[in-house]
Amino acid sequence: MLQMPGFSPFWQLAWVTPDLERSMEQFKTVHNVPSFFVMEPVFDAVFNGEQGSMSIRMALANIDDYQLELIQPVGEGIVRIYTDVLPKDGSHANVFHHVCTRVWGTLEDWDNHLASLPPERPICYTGDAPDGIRFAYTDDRASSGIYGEHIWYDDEVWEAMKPLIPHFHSK
Amino acid sequence: MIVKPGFSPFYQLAWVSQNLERTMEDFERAYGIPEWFVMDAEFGAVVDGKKGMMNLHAGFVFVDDVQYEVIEARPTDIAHFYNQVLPTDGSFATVFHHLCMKIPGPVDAWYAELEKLTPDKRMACYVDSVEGTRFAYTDERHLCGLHIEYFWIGPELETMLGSLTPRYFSDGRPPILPKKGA
Repeated sequence: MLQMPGFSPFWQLAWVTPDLERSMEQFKTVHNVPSFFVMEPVFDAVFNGEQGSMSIRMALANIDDYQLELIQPVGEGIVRIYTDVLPKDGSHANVFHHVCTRVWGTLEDWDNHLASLPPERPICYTGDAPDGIRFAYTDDRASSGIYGEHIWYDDEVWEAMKPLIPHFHSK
Repeated sequence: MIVKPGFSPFYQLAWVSQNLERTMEDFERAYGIPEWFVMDAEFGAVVDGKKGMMNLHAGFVFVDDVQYEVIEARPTDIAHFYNQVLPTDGSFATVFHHLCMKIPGPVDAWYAELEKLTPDKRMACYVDSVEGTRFAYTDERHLCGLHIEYFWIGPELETMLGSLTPRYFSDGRPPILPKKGA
């Protein structure tokens, strides 16, 4: 499988925050995103070879044909993939963290996509996602200053998730 | 006044670099984007209320419907608008700088969009000196960590630049590359 160009298929813009409620309120008042779908997953994950428990609070909203994600890391350890970008003085900030590529198709397409990634995009973070979901992050900071996320949904799983995520339109 | 939701209509991801050629090489290796439309542009701009000249060496591509832009801002008295995000020790970096929304409709729509800006979206860079386009950036780093660009382009200029800009696709179609020397 040939590498897909850039961050395509473009799927998501994602920020990290120390306070999800405050960020959602900011995105509501400043960026006209009235509501989000909030989840609080806890799962086993590996970040830069270190195994641990990942605990985050995350909020999703769909805009036209892309998605906004806000992530509040919880706890310590490998969650530092998120906490490391936050202000060290504890002040509030919404820090742009990654662009997400959505891999469409089958699980085989997902595997082929990961296999197509060049050495310049090392996979740094994966986690035990629920059945029907796969994700991985590449550390793209050397080439583009940000992380890249790659996500795959089984069609049935996505059809079940989609109605839960508020969807807003520019037109 | 209705503000369009969440950076829509979304148009562009944009980076700043000290060396456009080096960043384009990195994007070829890391992201499979070997060819860019490279443009040198000098134009008047207002940065933080101060008039000056911007001198940009910039590269553009489309990937599906998203435009990628990499900007190397050559030294001028207002180039800091872009270069302030770069490492202060002089080390090379490609730094994510802004998200861009493309304002549809006539040029009046762009002015109307700027009229809607609330005081917390501070105008950081304003450009209305280029024929066929308008663009402005608000400093929203305290809100979303980034600058946000509001971009308008007239149909003639859009067609002309579109014909010069390589277009890559995620669905396996071969890229559309301008003819060399076009």
